[in-house]
Amino acid sequence: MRILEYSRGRILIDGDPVYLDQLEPMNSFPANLYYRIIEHLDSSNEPYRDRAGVFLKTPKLETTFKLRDYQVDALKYWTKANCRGIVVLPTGSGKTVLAVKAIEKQKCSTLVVVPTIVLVEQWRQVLQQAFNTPVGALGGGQEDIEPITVSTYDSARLRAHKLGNIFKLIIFDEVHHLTAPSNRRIAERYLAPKRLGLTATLQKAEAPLLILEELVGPTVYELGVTDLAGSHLADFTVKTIRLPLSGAEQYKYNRQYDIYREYLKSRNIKIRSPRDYLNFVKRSGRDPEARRALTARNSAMDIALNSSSKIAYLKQLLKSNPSDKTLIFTSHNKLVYTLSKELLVPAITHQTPQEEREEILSRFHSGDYKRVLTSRVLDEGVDVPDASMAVILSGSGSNRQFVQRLGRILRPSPGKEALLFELVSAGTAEVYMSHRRKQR
Amino acid sequence: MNLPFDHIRMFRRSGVIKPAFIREPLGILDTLIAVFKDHVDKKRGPLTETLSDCEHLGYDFRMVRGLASVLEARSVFQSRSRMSPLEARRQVFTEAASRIVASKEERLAVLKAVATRNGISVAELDDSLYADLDDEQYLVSFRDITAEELMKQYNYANMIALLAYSLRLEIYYRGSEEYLEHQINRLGKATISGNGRIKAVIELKSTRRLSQRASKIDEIMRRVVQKEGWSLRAYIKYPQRYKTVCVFDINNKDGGDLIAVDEEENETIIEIGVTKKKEPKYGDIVVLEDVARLKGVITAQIKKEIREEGTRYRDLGGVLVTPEKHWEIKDGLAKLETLGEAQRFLKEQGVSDFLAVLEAYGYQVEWLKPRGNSKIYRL
Repeated sequence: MRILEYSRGRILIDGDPVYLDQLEPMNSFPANLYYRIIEHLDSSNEPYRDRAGVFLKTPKLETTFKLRDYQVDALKYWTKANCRGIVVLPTGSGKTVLAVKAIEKQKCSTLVVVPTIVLVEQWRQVLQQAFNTPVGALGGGQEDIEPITVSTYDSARLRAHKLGNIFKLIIFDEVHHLTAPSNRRIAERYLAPKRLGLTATLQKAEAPLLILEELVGPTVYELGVTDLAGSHLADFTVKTIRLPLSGAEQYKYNRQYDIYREYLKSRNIKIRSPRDYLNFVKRSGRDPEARRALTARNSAMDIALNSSSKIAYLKQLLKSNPSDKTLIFTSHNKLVYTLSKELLVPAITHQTPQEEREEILSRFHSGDYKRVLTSRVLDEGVDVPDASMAVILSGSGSNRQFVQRLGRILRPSPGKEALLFELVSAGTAEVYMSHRRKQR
Repeated sequence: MNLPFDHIRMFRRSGVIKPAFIREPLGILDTLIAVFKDHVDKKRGPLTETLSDCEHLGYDFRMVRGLASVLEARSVFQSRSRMSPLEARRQVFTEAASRIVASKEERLAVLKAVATRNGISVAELDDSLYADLDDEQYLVSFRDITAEELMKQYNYANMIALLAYSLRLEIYYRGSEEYLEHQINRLGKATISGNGRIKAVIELKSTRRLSQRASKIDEIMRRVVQKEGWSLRAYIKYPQRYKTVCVFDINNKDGGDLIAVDEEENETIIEIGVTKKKEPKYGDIVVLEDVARLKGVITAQIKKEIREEGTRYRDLGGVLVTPEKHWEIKDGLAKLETLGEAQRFLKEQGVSDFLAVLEAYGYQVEWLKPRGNSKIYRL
C-alpha cells in the first residue's frame, strides 16, 4: 500500500511510484499536484494512506453575508470546476464577499494570500466579522496561525515548508502576482487541493495564463467594468484630454527623445515588447551610449508626464468641481510631493508612514479631505474610500493599472456618475501609452 | 565602508579578479568634492539632482555613484523643521480642505493662518511640511577631503564590496592583536597561526546578508591595512550566480598604495577591554523602525542622529546594538530554547520588539502552541 507524506513543499510517495503525465513514474511531486495524485489513486482503486494532508479543523463557519446574482454565478462556476479556478471581477464588485462565501461553503481550513500587510489587516477584519471566529495573520511581525489565516505573499512563501499541508483551501487575492517566479513557489509548495484566484484584471498573454491555470486553475468567471457599470457599479465616463506642451517643454522633449531615437536607429534596435525594452535597459549597464539614450528617454518622458499644462488643467478641474471627492494619480513620487506642497492636498506614497496613510484615508472617507494625491501605491492592495472623480496625471501603459484606478471611483450611489480624466501630453510618446492602457 | 553592491566595478580574466581601482586623481573627483561643498546648507534634493547630472560627464556612472556614496558618508544631513512634519501637514491640509488652493495667494493665506496659530513664520512652516523626506533634509556639514584621499577611499570601499563575495580569505600581517583576531573569528570558520607573521585563513559560506558581511570584512581590513607587511588573497565568486571562483591578490606594496581608510571613522571603533560607559540616547538596543515610527520620522534620520551622537552600534539590519550589549545578548540567547524564554530575556534587556531582535540575530522560530513554547534556533 502506498503512503503519501508531505515534506518541505513536496509530496513523497512511499511505495510504488505514480505516473501522472511525466516521462516516468515518480515517488516525489510538487505539493500542488496533490489533488491529481489523489484523483489518480482514487480512480485506479489502488489502496493508499494519505498522511500528507494534515488539515486544521475549522470551527462552525456561518455568515450572514449575501451574494449578488453575478457573485452567485461566479461561486457556482468555481464549485463546478472542482473548486479550482480564477474569478475576474472589477474593483469594488465584492471579491472579498465572494471569498467569504466560498470559505463558508467549503467549511475547511483556509489560507488567504494577499500582496500587502495592509490587506492582511483588512481581510482579517472582514473574515473575523463574517465568521465571528479568530483569524490568524502572517506577515509584518505577526505569526498567528488559525484554521483561517491571512498571509502576505512573502510570508506564505517563507513558511511554505512548515504550513504547506495544513490548509485545504488557498485563496490568492490579486492572483496576477502569482506569475512572479518567487511567488510561484507558494502555489507549488502548498498542497491545498481547493484553490481560488481573485483579480480585477488578468493579462491575456498566453504564458502567464498557462502558469495560473497550472497553479490555481482556469478562469471560471469573468466580468469587466462595463458589464457592471450602471447596475452594481456606478456609471462612468472616461475623458482623455490632450494637452500641448509649452514651447520650451516641447523643444526639450524633442531634443531628448531624438537622442534616444537616434541611438536605437544607429544600433538597429527595435522596441516592440517589454522584453525588448528590458534588453535595452540591460545594455545601458555596459554601453555608455545606451545609458545616455536611456537617460535622455527618461528625461523626455519626465517632461511629457509632468508638463506644466497638465498642472494648470488640474487646478482648473479642481476649481470647477470643488465638492467632488477626487483622487489624483501620478507616476512619480516627486510630482506627488511637488503638487502636495503647491496645492496643499494630502499625499500618499510608499514613503507615507502607516498611521498617516490611515489617517488621510479615514479623513477622505469622512469627507474632511476632499482630495488625495497619490502615485502608484493606491493602485491596488489598499481599501480606498469611494471617490466620484479621478484624475490620471500620468501612468504607465498598463491596462491593469488603468482598470484598477478606474475601479477606485466606481462604488455605486444613487444618481452617481463617476468621472475619470486622463491628461495626456499631445505630440509625445505618452499618447501611445494612453492608447495602450485602454486596450484589452 | 563599502560601496553599494550594484556600484562594484571590477575586471575579471583567466581566473583572476581585480576591483577597478582609480589610479590617478581624475577631474571628476574634484568636481564631486566641489558639488558637496557647494551644497552645504542646502537641501538634499538639489544635491541629488546635481550628482545625477555629473553622471553624464563621460565617466562610468557606477564610478560616479560610488564616489558620491563615499562623499555622502562624510556628510551630515539634518532636518531643520521647527514643527513636527506630521503635525504641520495635518494642520495645513485640514485648513486647506475647505477650499481649492490654486494660486500663490491662496496658498499663502492657508500657510499664514496655520503659522500664526503655531507661532512660527510661514517659511518655517513651509520648510517643516515635508521635512521628514530625504530630499528635504539639509546638508549641514561635510568633512572636506582631497581628490587623492577620495580616490583611495573609493578604491578601498570598492574592494570591500567585492570582498563580500569571498568564499575564502587568506590574510597575512605582522603583530598580533586581540580585537582583530576576535573579528576574524566572527567572520567565518577561521584558523589563525604564526607568532611574528600572522596567517589567518577564513572559510566563508555564500550569504544573502552581504551588507553585514561587508561590514565585518571592513572592520578587519581597516586594521589589517595599517599593519606592516600585510597581504590578502581572496577567492571570490562574483556575481554569486557565476560558477567560477576567481582569485584576487593585494598587499602593502602592490595595490596597497592605492587604498586608504577614512581615519576618522576608524577612531570611533571601541577597543575590547575599554570600559568607558556613555548612556546612549536611544538605549543599548535600537529597533530603528520602532523609534522612527514613534518620532514620526524616517529611519535614516534616526541613524543620522545616532551617528552625530557618536555612540558606536553594530547594525544588524534594522536593529542597532552597542558592542557590549551585543555579546551579552548573543551569549544569553545561545543558552535559550523557547520563544517565551527569549521574550523574557530580551524584555529584561529593555527590548519591546523582541521578534525583530531575534530575527536580527539570525534566529528562526518553529511555531508551536502555546506560542511561548515555540522553539528558537539558529541555522
